[in-house]
Amino acid sequence: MNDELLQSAWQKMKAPLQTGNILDNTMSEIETLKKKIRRRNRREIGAAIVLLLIFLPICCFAANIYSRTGAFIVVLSAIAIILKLQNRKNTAAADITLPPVPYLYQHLIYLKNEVRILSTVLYWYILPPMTGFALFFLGHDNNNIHSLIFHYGILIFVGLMVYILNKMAVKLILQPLVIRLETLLKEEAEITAATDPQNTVL
Amino acid sequence: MKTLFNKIAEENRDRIYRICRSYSTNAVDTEDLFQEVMLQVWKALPGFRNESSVNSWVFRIALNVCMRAKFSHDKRKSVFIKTDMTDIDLPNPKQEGHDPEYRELFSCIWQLNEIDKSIILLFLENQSYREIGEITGRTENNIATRMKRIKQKLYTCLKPRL
Repeated sequence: MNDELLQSAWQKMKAPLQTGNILDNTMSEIETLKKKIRRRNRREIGAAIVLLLIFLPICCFAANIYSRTGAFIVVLSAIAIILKLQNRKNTAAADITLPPVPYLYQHLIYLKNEVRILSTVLYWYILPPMTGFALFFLGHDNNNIHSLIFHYGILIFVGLMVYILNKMAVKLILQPLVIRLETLLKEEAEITAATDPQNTVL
Repeated sequence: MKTLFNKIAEENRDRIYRICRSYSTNAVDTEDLFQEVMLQVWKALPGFRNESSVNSWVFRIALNVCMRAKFSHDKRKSVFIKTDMTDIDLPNPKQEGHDPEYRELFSCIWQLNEIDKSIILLFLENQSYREIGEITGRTENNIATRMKRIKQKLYTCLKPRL
């Protein structure tokens, strides 16, 4: 088999799609994406407003100092988390029109950033609001030890679940991807260095 | 912009589809990947400048989207994170309408790493070494050396099969 035969065997495969459908599907995909983004933004902002509506009055008018301080920390944490998530969404995506290897390097940076964010979830996503809630319940359940144990139990359970799920995502999904991509790019750099040391494009 | 997009889709439909098929594990995933490529083409279209040919530009986007899918943790795309041959559905000549030679070629291409695969796919789409170099950001010499090595692997794999 020679190169021409290979090319002709390869090109025998045709796409089972019509051009008109491609445009329609692309437009509908764009609409779906826009709707998803709108829904997600509404959900996040809605959650922030609900938290503010509940905890701001407590912050200002609760008699107990622990409840007031706790509510204040919850409000601050909620705002900080929303800002952090918004900031992450606004980060510019890698340029899809770059040559493949530089694009993969950009993707590796993105993946490593995801690993970093999920690995530190305890410090920016779990502990700050949990501290606020813990203080709030300390004031709220002042003389009721059973209620306090119940609330703390829920807090610890939710915190642990969030922590474990994120750790698992890093260990089972993200880290293996990072390792595979790093290996590929390392091999690529070695091959490029061996075959064409003058190639400065990469 | 719709006219230009339609023209690009018309001219590159089969090529993009073949690239997507080479990076996905079955025909259904291929269509998802194909749609993702077209979406990215549409989004990038306003920024297209005639510094390179439209075809080279489209090839770059297709390869980037397909390779990104292989290294993506997105739930919808995680179906592509499969690396060994037992996980993939080889093209079925009866269902997907192509011949056994294509099937064997596909099977051998699947065994290459993502970057070698991208280079041989461009070659199979009749791109010259200069064009492949332009798309992948390499020199023509580098592509020539790389192609020699990749073809050797490919023919070694194909020889007992065909």
